[in-house]
Amino acid sequence: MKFENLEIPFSDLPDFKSVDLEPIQSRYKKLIWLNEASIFIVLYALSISGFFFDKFPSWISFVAIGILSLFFLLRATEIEKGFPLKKFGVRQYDMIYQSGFFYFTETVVPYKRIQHVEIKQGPLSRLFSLYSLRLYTAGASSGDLIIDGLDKYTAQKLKAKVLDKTTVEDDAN
Amino acid sequence: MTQIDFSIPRLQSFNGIFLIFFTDLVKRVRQNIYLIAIPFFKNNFFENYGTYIYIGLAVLVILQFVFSYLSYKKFKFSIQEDAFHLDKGVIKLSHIEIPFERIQNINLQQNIFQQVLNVVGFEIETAGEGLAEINIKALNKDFANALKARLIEEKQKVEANEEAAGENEEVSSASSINQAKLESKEPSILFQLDFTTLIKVGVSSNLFKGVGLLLAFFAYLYNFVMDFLTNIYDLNLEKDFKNRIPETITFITFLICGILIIGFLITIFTTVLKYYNLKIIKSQKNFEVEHGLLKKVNKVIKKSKTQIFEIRTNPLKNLFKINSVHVSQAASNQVTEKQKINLVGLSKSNLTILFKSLFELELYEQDFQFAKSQNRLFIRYFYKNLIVIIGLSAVAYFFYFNWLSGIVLIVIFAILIWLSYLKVKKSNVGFNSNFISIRKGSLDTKFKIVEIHKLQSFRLSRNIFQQNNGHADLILETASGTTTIEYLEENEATNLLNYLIFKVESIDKDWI
Repeated sequence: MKFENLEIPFSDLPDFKSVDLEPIQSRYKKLIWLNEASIFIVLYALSISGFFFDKFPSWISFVAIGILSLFFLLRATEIEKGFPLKKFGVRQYDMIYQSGFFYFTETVVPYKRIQHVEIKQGPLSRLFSLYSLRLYTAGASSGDLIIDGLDKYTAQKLKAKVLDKTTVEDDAN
Repeated sequence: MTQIDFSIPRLQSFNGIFLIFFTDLVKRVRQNIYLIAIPFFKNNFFENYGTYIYIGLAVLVILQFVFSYLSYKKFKFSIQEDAFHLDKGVIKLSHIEIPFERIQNINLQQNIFQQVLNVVGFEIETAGEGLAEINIKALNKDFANALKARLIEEKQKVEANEEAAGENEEVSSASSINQAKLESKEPSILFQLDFTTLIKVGVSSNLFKGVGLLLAFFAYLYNFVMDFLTNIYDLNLEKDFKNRIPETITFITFLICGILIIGFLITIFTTVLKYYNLKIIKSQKNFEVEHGLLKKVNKVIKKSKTQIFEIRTNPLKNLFKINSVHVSQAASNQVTEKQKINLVGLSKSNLTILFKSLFELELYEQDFQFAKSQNRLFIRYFYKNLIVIIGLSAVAYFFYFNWLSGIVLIVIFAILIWLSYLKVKKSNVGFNSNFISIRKGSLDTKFKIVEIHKLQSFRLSRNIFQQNNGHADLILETASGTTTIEYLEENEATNLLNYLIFKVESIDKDWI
């Protein structure tokens, strides 16, 4: 690719990768594990209960347990390896969030394009007093920026920052 | 036109009663279509219950008519000072108010019933997220046009007032109203599709759509007839039928050719029905698109709402020198193929004019710099195809395993590989200071053009393999859907992302 005729050369553009990213609260990992464990315990219980029914061929249970274990292993790697990658960054005009081990994604949403901001807290996150911040754009919901596992102070600070930026834009127009 | 007093609550056109009745009736029949099958399950059904059935049906139809009449009577609309008002509902009454500034589009359409009864359907789209959308089923054509003109006028007044209040420059807003009025008085036809081009469009459109339609129809027919026969004469016809399929190649080639030819004809036929008399009319700042023989469609392309401008070509279309353009407008969810506004049979000069009037720039002067999808993308497609082929092989192994199915599978695999190769070669992303372009397609080419400032959010995604070999997928969100460019070189993708973010943040333009 040639980079000509640009009003600014690529090397002069601010690089979103150069931003110092901040990690989310480490207790959020416990919450993820709790969620994950509850699902897998139910699934394991179901497959093991297959052994107690004589009419049910036992090889199905074996296969089910095998597949479940494989999934569990993958999920465990994703959580353990992926958790340190969950980071967010705040720049002057946009917010960045990265996550994922098997699928590493970096999302950038300019404040200008944010439709509304939401702070959410589910029943489990209330136990850990964690919050999640969601930035909605006019695009498909897959393009929304969701940061889970924030403490109250950070969540509100980020929300205020975003709202501040978006309203300033509105005033200018 | 202006002497009609819209402030009095009005009913729909008188013929509307019949229209509502017929459409409701069709709906009811469709809902209860399975009841038709009952007589086949019981012998002597009609002899025993014939009169009751007819009386029952008559009562139901009369009840339906009364209901339709009431809903016609209760459906009242008017224009008041601030908004469009609508009352409706027989059992559950509802009152809808749409402020003029919320009105986004006004569409007129005519389906076959409406054409017979000489009325038009009137639809008001709003900017709300799937909230109140108004659909008036039957209006007199002149009245509908007058109503539309009046609503647009009111909307402009409101907008002009807002502008004046914001800028305190009443002179300019007054002149803009005048200008708008002047322009609205002379809508000019930008493009009209003639019949020969329409046929060309039909010939060059994807014939597999027609084939699919045909196969779906046959599958439906087959199921229906089989069910019916099996129920009546207690035999397993299916097995019998399958045994009689001659396993000769001539028969199969004949069958395939027949299906292709009929599918081809169906494609042409449906295209002609759909796009008959396609017209693009320029009115004020927007475009109106009109087409259809049985179902007349009237859609509005709003300049500011336009998000994706997609040009589609294929080798046949190139031969005929026609292009089609699919315009996606901002919506609260992913714009489906059906929601896109399709303009077909456009020549290069039409394309230039359309592009220029939408974006105020010359299409063919756009000089894009391209970043290509890397060849590794082929591996991804290869694995996807492999899964398809393994699935098909499994099916073939259990049901129809011989040398013929083997050859067919190999041919299918080869075709899929070839298409993937074309896909990889075609996939690229281009950009300049105003636009970003995304090219995709295999045999056909889809060239999407998006104004950079209409992008909503950006995402770089790398799976575990891409993390190792330095590639990335670039995912761009617009207000009418997601676009993905697969397997770019990682640093190219990063640079491009930085550039796009910089542009969005530095251009002071809104996305709608």
